[in-house]
Parts: sequence; C-alpha cells; structure tokens
Amino acid sequence: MPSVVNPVPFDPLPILASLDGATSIAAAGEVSKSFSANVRGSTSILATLHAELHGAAVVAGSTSIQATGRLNSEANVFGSANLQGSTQLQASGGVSLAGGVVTLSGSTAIRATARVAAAPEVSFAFILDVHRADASAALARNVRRFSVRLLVNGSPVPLKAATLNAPPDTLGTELSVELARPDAASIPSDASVDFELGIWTGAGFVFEKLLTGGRLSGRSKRVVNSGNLPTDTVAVSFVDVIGNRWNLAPEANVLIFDPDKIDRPAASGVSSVAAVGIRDAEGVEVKTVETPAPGLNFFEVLRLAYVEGCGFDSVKTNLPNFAVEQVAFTLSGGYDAGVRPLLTPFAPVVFAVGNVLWIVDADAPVPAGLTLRPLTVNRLVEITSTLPNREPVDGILATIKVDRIAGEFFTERLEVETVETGNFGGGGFTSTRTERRVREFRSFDEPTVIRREETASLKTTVTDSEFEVLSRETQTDQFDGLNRKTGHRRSVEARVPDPEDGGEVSLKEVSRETQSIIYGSHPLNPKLDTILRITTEVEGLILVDPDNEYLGKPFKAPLLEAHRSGNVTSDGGQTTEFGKIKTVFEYLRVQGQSVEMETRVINHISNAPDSSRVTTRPGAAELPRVSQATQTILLTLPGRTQRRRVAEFDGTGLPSDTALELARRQLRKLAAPPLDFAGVLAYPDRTLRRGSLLAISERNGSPLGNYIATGYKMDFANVEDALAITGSLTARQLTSL
Amino acid sequence: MTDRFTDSTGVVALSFVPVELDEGETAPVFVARVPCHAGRTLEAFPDAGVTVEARPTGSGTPFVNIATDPFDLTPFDGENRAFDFRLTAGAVAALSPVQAVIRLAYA
Repeated sequence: MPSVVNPVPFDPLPILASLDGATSIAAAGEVSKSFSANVRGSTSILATLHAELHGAAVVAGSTSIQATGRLNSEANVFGSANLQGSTQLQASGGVSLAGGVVTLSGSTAIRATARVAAAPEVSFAFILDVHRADASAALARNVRRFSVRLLVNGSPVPLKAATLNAPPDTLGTELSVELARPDAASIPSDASVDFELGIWTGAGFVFEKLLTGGRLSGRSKRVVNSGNLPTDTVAVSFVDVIGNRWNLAPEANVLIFDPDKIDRPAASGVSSVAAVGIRDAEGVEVKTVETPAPGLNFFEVLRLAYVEGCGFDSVKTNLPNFAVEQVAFTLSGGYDAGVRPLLTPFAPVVFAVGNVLWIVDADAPVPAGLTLRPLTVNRLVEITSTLPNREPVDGILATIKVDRIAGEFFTERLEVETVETGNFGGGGFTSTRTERRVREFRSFDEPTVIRREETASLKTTVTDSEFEVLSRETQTDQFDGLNRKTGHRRSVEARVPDPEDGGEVSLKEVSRETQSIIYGSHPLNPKLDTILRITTEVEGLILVDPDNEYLGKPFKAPLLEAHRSGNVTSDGGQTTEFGKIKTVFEYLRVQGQSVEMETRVINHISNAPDSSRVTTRPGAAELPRVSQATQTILLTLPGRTQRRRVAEFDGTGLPSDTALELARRQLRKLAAPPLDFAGVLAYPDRTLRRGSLLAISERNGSPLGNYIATGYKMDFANVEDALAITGSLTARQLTSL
Repeated sequence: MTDRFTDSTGVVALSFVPVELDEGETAPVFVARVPCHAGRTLEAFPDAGVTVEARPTGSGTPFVNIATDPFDLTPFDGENRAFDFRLTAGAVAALSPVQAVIRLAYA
C-alpha cells in the first residue's frame, strides 16, 4: 500500500500520485489551510499535525467529504467519512487534517493547489453605551447646560458656530465650523481635530467627544465689511477617520474571481479602461491584478474590501452569505464601489462602532428580548412620520442569473493517440503520445448535438526506444465566464545539457509560454464580438556565456537554440538562468471582407524587435455575442385579483435563490413600505448614532414603532455667547419582511 | 445544524444587541440560544470597561465571567441551549461605545 507524504503546496493541478488499491496519505508537514476533494472511493488521510481543513467535496458517486477549518492554531476536530468505490482526490491546499479519518481505496489521483481561507466566526455582539454617572444625572434634570469646544492638535480653538452632520447612506461624520477669530492659519492642513460636547454636572463641564481624529476637508474665507466694520469669516470643515476610509482604493485595478466557477474573469467585470491598459506618468504599465480565490463568497468580499482594503478591524453583518463569482476593486471606484452592487439589493444600514463596521439588514426580524431605546415625545420638539408613496403593484418581474451560458453547457472527452516513427530498438525511434482534453459545447435544447469544440488541455510526450522522455509539452487553455478561450499556459520540457553540471543532459523545463486573448466589439457589427489582441509571453532557460562577450556583456541565447547550434560547453564558465525570452503581439483588424493581422515580436535577450509583419487574410473574424443566460420570473402577492403594473428587480448580480428571496421582499416592501421618521430633538443626545435602535412613541405614549437611526445632525449657534443647540434625527422603520 | 446564536425563541439570528448603562450599572439579563458542540466553549471578547457573565438559563448556578473563564459547552453537545448573559459596566472617563463580542471557540 503506497503512502505519500504531502507536506508542501505545489503547482496547480498536477497529478501527484496515481494510486491503485487502498491508499494511506500521511501529512506531516506544513499546515495547509484549505482542502477540497472530489472523492469517489474509500480514502484514508492521516495527519500527524493539527491543522486546518477547509473545503468540501462533492463526488460523482456515493461519497462526500465535508470539512471546515479555521485559520488559527487551535486544534480542530472533524468527523470521519468512509468512502467506497474508485476515488479521485483533488485537494486544493497542502492538506493537513486534524482528527477525522477518511479511508481511500481504489485508483486514486491526487491533485492539489494551495489557498488559505478563514472559517466563518460564530458570534454576536453587545454594543454598549456607558455613561458617566454625573453626566447621566445632569441630563436627567429638567434644566441642562451644554458647551462645545474644538480641539486642534489638542489645543482649543474658539468657535462662533458649528454643525455636525452624519447623513444617511454614507459613512463618517462631517463637522463644519465658523471660527470666532477669522484666522485660517489657526487650522493647519494636517491637524488632527476633536469636537467635544460639554455637559454641566453642577461642579463643572464633563466633555464627551462627538468627533475624533478629524482631518481638514475644506476651508473658505470671506472678507466682508458691514457698515464700516469688518465682519470677516472663516469656515472650515472636517471629516472623521471613518469617513476618510470610504474613499480608499487599491493601487491597481484588482479582479478577484472564483476559479472553481470561472476560469478567468470576464472582461465585463472591469471597466473598459482597465481591459485596455493603464500606464503611469513614467510609462510603466499599471497592470490589473487578477487573483483567484476558490470558494469566494460575500463575507470574504466584505473582509477584502473593508478590513484589508479600508482598514477596519472587522465587518459584522446579519446579511446572508452567498457565493460570488467575481468582484472588481478599481482605481476610480475604490473598495466600496466593488461591494455596492452586492449590498444595494439588501438596502442595509451601515455604521461604525469604534473600528468595527456594521452592515445591518433593517428588514430582518427583530430578535425577542431586545430592549430598544425609548424615544418619547418629551425628548422631541417635532416628529414627522412619513409613509413613502406606495406603488400600486402586486407583482414583480425578477431577472435572475441561471447557471447556463446562453443555454449552453459542455462535456469533456479525453483523446489519446500514440504515433511511433522508426524501428523500435534502432536509432531514430520515437513514440509520441498525445493526450488532448476536449470540451464539447452543447445546448440544453439539443443536448446530443455538439455545437462547437475547444481544446482544454494538450499534453504531448515524446519517448525513445529506451522509454526515456525526450520532450514533453503541456498546454492548459483558459476560458472566461462566457466560455471563450482567454489564453493558455504552455510548458515545454526538453533534454538539454547543463553546462554547470559537466554538460549532463537531462530533462528540463526550457520554456514557459503565457498567452492572453482580448475580445472586443466587432467594429462593423456591434452585435458581434471579435478578437482584438493576442499577447504571448515566452520565458525559459537562457545560456549565459561570460567567455564570449558581446558589446562588453556575456553573450546570451535561449538554451534550446544554443544546444541545437552546438554552442553549449561544459569546460567554460557558461551558466544558465530562467528569464524572459520574447513577447509576441498579434493585432487583428477586421476590414469587412478580410482580416489584417499585424505581428510584432520583441526579443528580450537582445532588447530589440525580432520581426514584424502584416498579413491579410480573406474572410471575417467575428464571434457570436455570448452572454450569461438570465431568466425573468413573475412573482405576485397572494390574492392578486386585478391586473396592475408590475415592478422590476434586477437580481443578476446575486445567486438565483438569494435574488428570488430579495425580489419577494422587495415586492412586500413596495406594497407596505417601512415608515420614515424625522425628528427634532429637544436636547442633544450624544448617544444617538447611525444604527441606534429606537422605540419611538408620540403623544400619550402611542407607539409609532421600532426604528433604526440612519442619520443625525446637530447645529450649534452662538457658541461663545448663549449656546443654542438644535438636533435632528432620521430613522427608518424596522420591519420583518 | 448551521451554527449561529439566536434569540430566546431559537428562531431569529442575533447580530448585535444594543445596551445603554451608567458606569457601574448591571444590565437586565439577556437570553440567547447557543449552538453547543463537544470541544467548543462560549467566550467573550469585551472592550475594557465591561464584564460579561453567562450561565445556562434555569440552572441556578452562579454567573461565570466568560472573558476570563470560557464556558465549556461539551455537556450540552447537540443542544441549542438557552444561556443568560449579564453585563456590568465599569467606570468610564467619558461616554464611550463598548463592544462585547460573544463567540464560539475551541477548547
């Protein structure tokens, strides 16, 4: 029974072992954080090291493994699974397994890629507002006395007036002040600003911060004469730390996608600018970063955007988690714009407590036992409760994404062919074995008919009569979410001498090719697509000959070419390095009845163009426009009797089941929209913030309902004389839709 | 069972519970249901200034400070058990929002 020690992560999807019979795998090395397995068979994996196992396997057959892990050093215990039948194990991660035993038997191929995934945390939080006892007692009195002060780098700056504004639908708080002394220089541009509210306790003022760490965002100065007297004013505005974070963006466009769902992100996932290319002022390309993230989900997108991107400690939400195919964080949109398409259908309330970002679904049911803060009429000067205009709809058209591409699906077949040349045992004999994996695209309407084929991978191995591998070429093609080939990676191994090892001839990777294909609209028919550009980068082993200088530098040439030319010696100072060899650019221009292809080759060893040519071929280079298939479903309210205009809901950015649930909720909300509340406060309540849960009542204690605060504003006038404070609050009704 | 904290009815998932206290004051007991598994503990990560205690509902046992002494859930393996949570605010220099995160951890 063979055993395989599997301590390290490795290149994507090579076959590590083909095992026949009962198989035991002992993992004794690096802990990998994620694992997914397709298992058909009885499988045993033993880990001698506590580890993290994250992943799931759905298997053709009667077998499944499901395991979750966590990204820390705590031991995990998992259940065991006994699997019967033939087994193919695909581990995405250098696998470590703590506890849990899976027994494998049958022929087994193990493939693995490495990735790290954090397990979801099971938690909830108490958010407490803790008051100083003396301030609390002061506010309980009928007569209250307040003061405000602005601290610039810790030093007070006198004010005439101030406005603190936390509007709905944004994050962060803005403070606008009018200085008592019209001196713009009193506020340096890099100053850190705090704004405090003082509460008179009888013995003195207790100051509490309303804004912390604010930064200058704007300034204006007016020079005015009123009569013969100068009445100059300087108005300054600040934004707090949280508000500043909302504008953060990555250093380059970032595309994160789930390779288990799409081979490569669709070009539509990024702006057209990013698809073509961006350069900085020095001409250096600012490349779009494409990052595969197996198992990408909504919670992970929130973490990437707001924790890694914007600097929050964590993101907490009561929104449901769901799978995400791809997300784009762009230079112009920032992290927030990448997440908004996923958030908008839920219409959540977003607020921060300390450095933790909360995203709350106000339509989720209110938990039992929750004590909402009472907001009674004696704390309010004015109440406005508004029922938004109801739309007389009792149906909604929900457009959802379906898991089929323009009604298309594919099956794969493996073609194996062996061609022999020469006489076995004699010189010149070669056996060429070709393994080609072909995707057969079919339609759901006619599943037995193959509409088109694409090669997904190709492996060609040439051996001699002694079964020694002379060369091996492996090519893996990549496809985007629309089933179009977007490039390939190709590796060529050949038997070449190693000048650093006495000229020993052995099989080495001599070149590696990466191709990318860019599609665009057909210039003559906007309903069709065409290929715009193909870029092929070739890197490989380069022979460096210091004894043969050219223009004062060691002569370099691709090792395979040098070997063919007989220029490799083992007695000199020749060495090898792996580097860029050439880049081939192919541009296609559609001219109606012909296609012009311009090819340019840049040789990176000589840093000069290798060749360029333009060829014209008759014909057209058009591709039918392929789009993700969508389906439109009509949802209606029960008891629908009259035909009314229906609303529309676009759920194509979400999984279909999540989109349908949101569409139903949207329909209920249109028929019975939540109330909007606007109130003017009798005195400043510095504990009210976005996200505060309120039980609002009007005269005689009549309940208006439960609400969640969405924004507030405080105006402070006559700061240095007789301070007058006006506070207002906006909130929306909590509903259980 | 999809692990999540729920309210006392066991139906509605909990995300946050707002509490308003004066310094030194103890909040009314809040009941939440905890998904219990062998080898897991119930623990709290409070900001400074609040004490978080818990005990199984109806047990009559003393409250345990689950920030310093995580509660072993092994005896309740498989249950969605109700727990009483009690919070006590410490002294503060000024009004401050405090978060106490309650989570399932590993023993």
